[in-house]
Amino acid sequence: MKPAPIAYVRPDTVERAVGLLSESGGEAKVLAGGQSLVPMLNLRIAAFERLVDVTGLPGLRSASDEGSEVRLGACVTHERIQTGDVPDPSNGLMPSTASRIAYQAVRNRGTIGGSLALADPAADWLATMAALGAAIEWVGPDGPGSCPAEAFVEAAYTTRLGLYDVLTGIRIPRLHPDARWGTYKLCRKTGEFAHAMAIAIRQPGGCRAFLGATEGAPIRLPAVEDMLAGLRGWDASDAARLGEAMAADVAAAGRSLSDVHAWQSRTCLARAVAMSFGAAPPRLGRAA
Amino acid sequence: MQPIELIVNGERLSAAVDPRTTLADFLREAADARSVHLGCEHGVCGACTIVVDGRIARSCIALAVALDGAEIWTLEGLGADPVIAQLRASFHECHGLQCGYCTPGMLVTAREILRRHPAPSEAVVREALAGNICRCTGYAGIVAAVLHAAENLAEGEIPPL
Amino acid sequence: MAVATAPDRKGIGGSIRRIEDARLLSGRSTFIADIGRPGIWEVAFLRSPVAHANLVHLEKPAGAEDRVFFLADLGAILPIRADSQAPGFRRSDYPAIADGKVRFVGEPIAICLGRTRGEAEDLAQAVLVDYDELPAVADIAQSRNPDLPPIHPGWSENVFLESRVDVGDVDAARAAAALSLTRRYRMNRQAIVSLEGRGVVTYRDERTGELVVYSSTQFPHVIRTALAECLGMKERELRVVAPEVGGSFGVKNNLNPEELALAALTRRTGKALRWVEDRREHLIASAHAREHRYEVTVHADGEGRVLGLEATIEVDAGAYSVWPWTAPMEAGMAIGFLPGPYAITSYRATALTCASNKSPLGPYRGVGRPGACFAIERTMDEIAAALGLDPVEVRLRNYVRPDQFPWKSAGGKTYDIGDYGASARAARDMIRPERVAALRQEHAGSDWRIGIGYATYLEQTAHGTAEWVQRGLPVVFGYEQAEIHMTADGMLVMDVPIQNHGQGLETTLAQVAHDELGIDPAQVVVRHGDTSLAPYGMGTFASRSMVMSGGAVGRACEALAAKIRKIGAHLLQVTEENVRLKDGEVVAAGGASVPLAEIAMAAYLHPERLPDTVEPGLSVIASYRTARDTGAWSYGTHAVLVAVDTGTGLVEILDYAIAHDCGTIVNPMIVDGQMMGGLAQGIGTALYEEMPYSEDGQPLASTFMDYLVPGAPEVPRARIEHLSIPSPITRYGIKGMGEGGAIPPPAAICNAVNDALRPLGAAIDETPLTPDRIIRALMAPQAGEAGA
Repeated sequence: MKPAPIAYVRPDTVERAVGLLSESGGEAKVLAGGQSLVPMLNLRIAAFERLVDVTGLPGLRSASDEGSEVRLGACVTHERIQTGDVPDPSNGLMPSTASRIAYQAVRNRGTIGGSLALADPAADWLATMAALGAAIEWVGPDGPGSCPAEAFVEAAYTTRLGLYDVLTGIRIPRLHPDARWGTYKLCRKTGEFAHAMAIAIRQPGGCRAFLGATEGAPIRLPAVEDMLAGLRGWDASDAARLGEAMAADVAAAGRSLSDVHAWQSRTCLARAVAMSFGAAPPRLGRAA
Repeated sequence: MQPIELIVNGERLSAAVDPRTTLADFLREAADARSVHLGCEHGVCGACTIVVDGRIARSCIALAVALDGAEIWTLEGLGADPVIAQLRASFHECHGLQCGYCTPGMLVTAREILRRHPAPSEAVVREALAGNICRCTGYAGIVAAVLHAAENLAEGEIPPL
Repeated sequence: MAVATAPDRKGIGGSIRRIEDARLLSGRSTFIADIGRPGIWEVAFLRSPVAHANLVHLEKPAGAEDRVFFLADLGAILPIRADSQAPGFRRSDYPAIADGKVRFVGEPIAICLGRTRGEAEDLAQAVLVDYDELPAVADIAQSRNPDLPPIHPGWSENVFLESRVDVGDVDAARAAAALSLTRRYRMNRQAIVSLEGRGVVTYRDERTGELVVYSSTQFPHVIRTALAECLGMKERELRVVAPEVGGSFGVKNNLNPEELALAALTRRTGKALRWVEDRREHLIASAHAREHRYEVTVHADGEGRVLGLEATIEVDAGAYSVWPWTAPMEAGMAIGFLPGPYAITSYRATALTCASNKSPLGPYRGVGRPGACFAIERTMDEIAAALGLDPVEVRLRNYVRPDQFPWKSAGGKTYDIGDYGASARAARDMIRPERVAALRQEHAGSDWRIGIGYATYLEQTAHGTAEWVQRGLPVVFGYEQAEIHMTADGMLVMDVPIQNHGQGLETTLAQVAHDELGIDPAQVVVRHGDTSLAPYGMGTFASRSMVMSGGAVGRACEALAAKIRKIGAHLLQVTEENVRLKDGEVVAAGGASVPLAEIAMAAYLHPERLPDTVEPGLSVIASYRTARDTGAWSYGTHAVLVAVDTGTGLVEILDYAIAHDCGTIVNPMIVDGQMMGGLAQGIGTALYEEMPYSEDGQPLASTFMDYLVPGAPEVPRARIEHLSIPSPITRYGIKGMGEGGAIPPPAAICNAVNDALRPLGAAIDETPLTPDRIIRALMAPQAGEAGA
């Protein structure tokens, strides 16, 4: 389980990185933390001629608080988000999410941009950024580009990024101070990739609800969002209605979930909504 | 082959590496760091955990060439570290190891757990050890050892992260 | 977990801290990947990507002809042939590397050499292979499908062996029964997963003329015997060494094709070679475990007493019979153990060992018993549920009673001693079932369902000659040897042919030596795992080493102690009857003493100080067999309290209690550690670990992303109570206990989950109990309104 021969280059600007990618004619790959890419290289399930390492580019490691939004460079690590080393626009949603990605040793090196660019459907940031209404920014041969996170993923492991584009950063609008969020994901063991996931954000001016871990792009749930806007509290008796809204949204999005996956997603969504109303994350303590 | 220079266990190390060489293989071969054990080579088991620029990392999923300029510590270099010394004593006292293969990664990870949580609860220790697989002990001795170490380290002996 | 007591006692019974810890905590000990030789070549195997195919064309990459090797390049070499003596057994020849056909994904086809492992893998990718694919046998249900090709030449069906048991009068039991019920159970295939993979280093020692084989193995002497046979060499031409072994659990207890392939290639080329198994190889190509299916029919009276038991057992043993265990081992153990701790006298069963295009099944902690325990313990709960009885009460009515030992079981085993009911009552007391009602009340209306489950297990250990002969294996592992030397400065070196791979045997054997010789365990060195150091012996497996090697060491020390006393008495000028060994000295009745170092000095350097009747030197070789050779039987009851999340299908273990008896305990701390480690693996079997195959024989879990091993948050700290009834047939009364922790957790946890789901009308009888399986059980038509 060792990588095939590969060349490595560390450009000193984003533009140079884009140039290197273009020169390689699609045989080069951006390295941005490597916590998913290097395993794939070790397993030889991905093969490239050249790695273009953007991890150290100063512009990609920086973060800035721009008032109504926060911009994170693509190579900000999960750990910096987890510990509050970068500004948090999300009332704690992003640090909480970051703290539950894989394991500390992976969070210390894995980056938000690397995770988004890989677009593993089971990863956390895709759905989280979509729910927060973030925008993904990149630079390509034709200059800079961007799109809403919600529209960034086209399918599992497939994004709007072109072959020669480098994801450079994420702009995340600041949540309303009164916004309340909830997330819940089903992992069979701690740190494992999610098998089902939901995020709900309630705030003045528009609620947001998404399912993640759907084997494709995160699914936005407009009917659920409408329902959330009308809720004044959470009661378990609302679960049936929430589930119906979710099912309608999934169908309206032209997507389908297996019966089991739908059951589990419904649970995640109900728990995310309950959490947004202040319910403690449902977890039983071990009895002594 | 590409030249790199890094600091391994306090000593400057210059080498020419094949870019495909993982940091784990590089450390085992070029720095005789055989405490770096390979258990999965895809970043899940934690046996190869080392310290890169002050934070733990999986050396099996880092490329040596990308670590040019980094400061790296493996268990070999941490002999004088008071936290590691206490952890070793605690693992011995609490039967925190059986075959010993996961042990270096456990010790290096536990050191960072204590730096992030100087007085951790059992639940915190278990969550923070989730990325280190032990197939022998059932974790009871390991968790007990980390808690034992936390209790037996004097204030100020744990350098903050 | 019982807190290990302070190390106030150094001999048997003391929780002394382990002698082997220091070198392992340094991180600098020597595992197989740490062993190098000048000019060593790294080996990668080209492994089959298809399940079943004829190899119609093989071609080495141009320019790499001297670095790529097929079977024909290895010289005269026999295939691995693990024949069972059972009538009707179908033979399979397992070649070191493929001989024109591949029979499972992962089977080695070519040996590729590189200066780095990466370069060797590059070559493996460049070998051209033309596969003429054949239909794959990928499920037990297909093993007797006449439309599928035979996996091995001359076979009429893809079955290694069908065996039967019929004792007592099952028909009468059926006629007399107030209750007869039939259930089906599945324990799916899993990988074994030592954290360190397998590995082999081979080179020629020009000075001794030996072909040296370092292997991460559990039984070096036996490997030497097997390699000599396959290679047509003399044993003296081979040296086999097991270095530090990073976990094993049975997966390093087979003669592996890779060991044979490297040894043959080094013999042929003189090249020093190193193969270190990677995780993907381990998951797809190391021996697998379990994959049992049961149909069990039980006949009981109205009080839940079992009158008769019927079963059909099917095991998918994969493509080859592994040496020395043979393919029918799993099903044979399952059929022998299905009656479990119960006084069942009418038993009729069939055990079918199927072949398939999957990795061969090998021994894994528990061997056959986790499946058998799962089937019988689930069935006991089903009896209780059907009759509205308490599940512990039903068990108490059925256990073999303490006054019935030795008990000859319907499965053909002889149980030595025990009090099974005591273990069940102790486990029940610890888990406190009376709290379940309150917990259910507390979580009423939520997604959580609370359940409690029990399982009692038997663990036959230290199997002796009769057991192995009965199984018809190529090797009869009926004894163990030890060779001990006191050094000239009074330390004790013990050379044993077992192989410590985490069990702490260096410590526990030193504790035995302490009791016999009065020597401080810190003054004892145990060397193992090397055919050049120790006399012949069988290695470490089947929970045998503490009994067998402990017995051999004990006998050797006893003989040495007699000689030491004789010399000591002479030096002290008293009679031999008036001295004893204590605290590293020979002490006379009057209090005068002479230290062991002084006695050793006399024995080696000053023969003039010895009595005339004593030969110089302080060395003893001894062998040991148990008094009766049908095994020492550990047992116990596990009790578990779970919460099942009906919204996700997750199972959370709230509390876990173990009451067990492994006879005399040598080191309670180590016993607790073994029990916890076994429990973790049992939880893996119960909830997480599975090696599924696609219909065309592709293994679907080739990384730790797909193959889930429990981590620290998933394994609770169990509370452990020791009952400790000494075995009547072993020295010191020790019973082995390395496997027991892994045997009953799937049964206990599945019982608890069913207890939780029963009010919903849902049932589940297949491991692992994944979230998806639990949700599907909740969706099944008979399940009522569920939580989500």
